[in-house]
Amino acid sequence: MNTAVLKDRLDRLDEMFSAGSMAEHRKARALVLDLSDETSFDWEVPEKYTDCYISGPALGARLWAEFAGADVEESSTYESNNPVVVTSSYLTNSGVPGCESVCFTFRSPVTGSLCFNVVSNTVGMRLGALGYEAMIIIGRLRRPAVVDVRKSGVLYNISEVFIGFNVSQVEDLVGVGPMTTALSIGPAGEQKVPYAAVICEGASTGRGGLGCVFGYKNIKSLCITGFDTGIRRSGDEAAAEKAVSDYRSLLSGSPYCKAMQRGGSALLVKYSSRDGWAPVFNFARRTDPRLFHLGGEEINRRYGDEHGGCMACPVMCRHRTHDGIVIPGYEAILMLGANIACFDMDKIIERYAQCLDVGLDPVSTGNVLGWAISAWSSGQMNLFEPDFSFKDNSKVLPLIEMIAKRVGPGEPLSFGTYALGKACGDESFAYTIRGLECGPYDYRGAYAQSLSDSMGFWFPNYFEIHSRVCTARHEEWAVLNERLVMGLESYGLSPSVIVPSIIEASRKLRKRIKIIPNSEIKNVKLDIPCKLITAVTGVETLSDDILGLGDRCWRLIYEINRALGFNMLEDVESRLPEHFYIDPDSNHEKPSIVPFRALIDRYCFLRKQIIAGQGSDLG
Amino acid sequence: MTYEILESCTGCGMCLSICPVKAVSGGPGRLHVINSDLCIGCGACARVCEVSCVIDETGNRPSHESKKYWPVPHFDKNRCRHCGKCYEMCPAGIITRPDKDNVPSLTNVKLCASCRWCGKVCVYDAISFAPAGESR
Repeated sequence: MNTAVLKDRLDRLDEMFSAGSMAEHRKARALVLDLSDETSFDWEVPEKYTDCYISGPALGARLWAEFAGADVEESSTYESNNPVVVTSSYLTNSGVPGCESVCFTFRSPVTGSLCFNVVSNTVGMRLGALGYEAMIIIGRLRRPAVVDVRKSGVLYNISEVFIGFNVSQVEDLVGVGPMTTALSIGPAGEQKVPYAAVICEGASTGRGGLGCVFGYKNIKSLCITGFDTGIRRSGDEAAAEKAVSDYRSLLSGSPYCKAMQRGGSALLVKYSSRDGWAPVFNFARRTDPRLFHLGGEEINRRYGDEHGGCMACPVMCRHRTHDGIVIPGYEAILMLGANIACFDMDKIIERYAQCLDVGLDPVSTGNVLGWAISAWSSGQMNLFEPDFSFKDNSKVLPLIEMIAKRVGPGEPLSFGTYALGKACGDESFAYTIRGLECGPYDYRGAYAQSLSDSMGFWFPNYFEIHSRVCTARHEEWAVLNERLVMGLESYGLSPSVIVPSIIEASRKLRKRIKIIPNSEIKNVKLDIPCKLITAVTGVETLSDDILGLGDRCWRLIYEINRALGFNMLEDVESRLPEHFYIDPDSNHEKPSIVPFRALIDRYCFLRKQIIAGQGSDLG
Repeated sequence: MTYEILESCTGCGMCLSICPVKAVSGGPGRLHVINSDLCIGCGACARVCEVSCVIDETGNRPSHESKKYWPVPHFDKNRCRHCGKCYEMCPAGIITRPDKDNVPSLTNVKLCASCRWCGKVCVYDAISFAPAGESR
């Protein structure tokens, strides 16, 4: 499919959605970095885009399609035909807790489909200070460079001398601090490891291979210098202040937030073991008593309760050791720990820090190492010395570095689990979905999660993973979670803060929620985010607006992926590794075989219903 | 919001010494210049200028204000959760790192430019602003 066909489809989609979009016509400016000729220019985002898609992933996907290269399907995944779109949140700089998110939209070099990563950091705030709501990176630099974005313009500083430097070294050299934020890659991104990540403020900016895309574009580091001490709200100031204050009090009294602050997101490790979705020994088992040592309470006991968090997020779930070293979240703990048979938190912290320093995504790295254990023990691979142990950090840390630098035994492992499984001729323990390493969920204990993951959405199912509300009708919870997450993120609110508070506020309805069919999803109270958005922006926002925006975002991604040759609703069964729905061998009491085919049928039925409700199929 | 120094500058150096991010440059008796890339828009230079030669983006000329009336952060020990965001983000680097038992404090109140950035990054509303010696 060429871009003209895609653009025609999306134009029709814009027309269809414009009826249900916000009444306010919002002006937004984007900074376009044209790497090919090392220039930049300002671009006015058309009002119809900001009206229909507001901000975040929805706007990011639309802008990606706008700037995608000439022949979308056949074009290279990495270079000039793959723009990277950075969109800030609608509520950036508004002082709302959890509003400082930023979304990276790009075509994943691993899956070949559109990928969006939403993370909380100061990038959006700094872009806002410079007067932009989005940044679009197109083309490719001829030589590796540090791109410096600041008020006076964009500087392309050739940085061949930085080649091979780790992220921490680069950050020291470019002067990261209160004034400047840097999005940097390590050796993994330079070497185009498919699961390389971009690192910002001590955290990965998500999965899907953004670091690899940065590597292909020759961006070693993207520094943004901007500072805005003002608070920007369009609504009535007194009403907005009250809404924000009410929301803060709600969160400070929230049992979920308190628990997260006490134990960090590692609290979920305990749930993973209890509910049987923990990946243990490369997804061979679903629970292990030793996971207790990796849980939130144990971390609190061992390292104290020094905690911090993402920008403007009141949950503050990121714990630190006494030395100020960041303790990883539950995903990295499970993948770099339990999945590779390591239950020592000190070692996991070191591995996590090493992954971030060399620019590798910790979750995917854990999956690849898990595959290596299985392959090595089954004799399919002979890369390591006989005395090699995955419990020994003196062996594992250099291995992680070798993967990033693509040398020694790290070289084959750098291709990722999917390629390794193919190369060995046995894919039975290569757990990937469309080539991307599975996340930290054993789907035999997380049915709803399996659905969203198989569609290519890598965010957690808050109803299943975080709160255990979802115990039946998993397909409906998967749809609801997607609608909420995409809707809230496109409005610029953090679902990890909002969704649990929605669940808490809906406690009285809990019994009903367990059995509500899709048509009654409106019973889930969205008063909290609606009140907040209305007060801060001055535009009346209802529950249907948030869910509708989530649907628009999903549809947009669906249409773009179709143009990229990936129909999300077709051939779903082949995507989930067979292990999860045919292998009952597990050490957890819950039934082990995912009724995946039935779930998919119902999920697709619900999605097609929503598509039909939006308007006719675009063909 | 960035600021600019007019040609009526006497080169007294007050703005240069108060700027928390060292965005002002210039020698004694010479016209000083603000680097717009570094300027954080706190307005300290404008408030400290005795001849009111600093203007903001809209052309307004804020008047001189004695430093003792400048609002500085006051940390509410009941609300503070010791997350350390204010410590990490203070452009002047004058906020102490909080620990389990202590809330942050200012190492040198005279260096505070009243940029209120710490108040903005505090998600717990634990920081209020009032002149030093007063509380909200």
